[in-house]
Amino acid sequence: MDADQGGTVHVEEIFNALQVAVVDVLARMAMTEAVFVHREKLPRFRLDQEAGGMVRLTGSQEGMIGITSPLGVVREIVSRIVSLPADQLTGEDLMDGIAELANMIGGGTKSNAGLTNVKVSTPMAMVGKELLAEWKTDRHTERFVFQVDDGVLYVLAAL
Amino acid sequence: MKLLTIDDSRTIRRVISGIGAMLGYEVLEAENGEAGLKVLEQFAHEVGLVLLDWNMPGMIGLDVLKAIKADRRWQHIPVMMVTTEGEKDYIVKSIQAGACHYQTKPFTQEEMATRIMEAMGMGGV
Amino acid sequence: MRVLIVDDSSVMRKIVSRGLRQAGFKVDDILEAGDGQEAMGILTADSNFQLILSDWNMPVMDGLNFVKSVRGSGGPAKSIPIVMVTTEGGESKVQAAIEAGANGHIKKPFTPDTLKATLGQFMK
Repeated sequence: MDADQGGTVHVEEIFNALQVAVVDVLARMAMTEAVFVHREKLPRFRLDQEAGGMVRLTGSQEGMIGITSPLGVVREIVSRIVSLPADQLTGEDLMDGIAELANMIGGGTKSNAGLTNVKVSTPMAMVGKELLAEWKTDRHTERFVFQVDDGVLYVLAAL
Repeated sequence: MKLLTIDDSRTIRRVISGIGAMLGYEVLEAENGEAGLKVLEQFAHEVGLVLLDWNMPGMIGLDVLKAIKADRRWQHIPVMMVTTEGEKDYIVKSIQAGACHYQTKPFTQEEMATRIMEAMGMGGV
Repeated sequence: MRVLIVDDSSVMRKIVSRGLRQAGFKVDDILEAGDGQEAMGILTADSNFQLILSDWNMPVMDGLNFVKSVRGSGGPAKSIPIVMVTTEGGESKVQAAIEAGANGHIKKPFTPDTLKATLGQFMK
């Protein structure tokens, strides 16, 4: 591997790569369109009736990339991916589905941004009822809001 | 002829099973490398292609690939890496270790179906 | 020559199209339909096909009923050869389709060679 090659990528370029990855993952795996709506800064976030998935980045770029969405939207997206009716999906299916989405979005961001010396962790998923989730990071969290079908998908990045 | 998907994500296993079934293959599933090798012990003569994830808890995909290629009983079975890692370095390592195809995630059904057909020797690019 | 592919999976329709070309058949035009009823609509307007390839399980009108409809129709499409594309274990279904007027079947998974062997007689 080339030394330090991935260290010079500007955070804004990674954010762009992230947005491209979100649209690409939803289009290919779920055959649906994710439309970017807006972005905002976020000090922390709360999962309530929502599911989330995240991966950690280590190496020349440290940070976290995650997604959260209301359970109904997650159910719809996972249903599209596995081609099964939404009402047949179990809680475990949804957890795995959103973890895998986070994994693919994290991996896609790494590829799109050319972050050669970055390792993407295996994904983790969580479902919250009043679960307060805090990013263990001193970096700002940026939240990107996407419209997917009739629902909203939040994509979070702390870089 | 059967396909074997080794992936810790049941979502991906289901997607691959669906595409395999559409093409007319029975798809065996394993959720990690160790389980995948056990399936091979039992079905080595029937498996025509292994679809292997890279990042898994326990044995990583590259080690599973090496284990498959080191065993005379099933080293002839083609292996396709299915992974979010799209870098040249990973692709080169996989090919060197004996993988015949490399498919990045995410993929469309058509991309995966085409890649499976190619890996099964059914037509070129 | 012109071929009509009837399958509810758009991916499968593409795979079959590709397979025909890889098998070396000189196909000038391939039309696609998502189910039997849609295919009947196409055939009513345009019956200039030398071959129809049909899936078995489809919504609205399945493969068997599609074969029956084509053979039962009075139009010029009535005599176009129909080959069913089936998965393993569909032997009894194949028999039913042949009795209804289908001309042959291809078992999935297929290779360009299988297509060549099965379809050669129709692709003159």
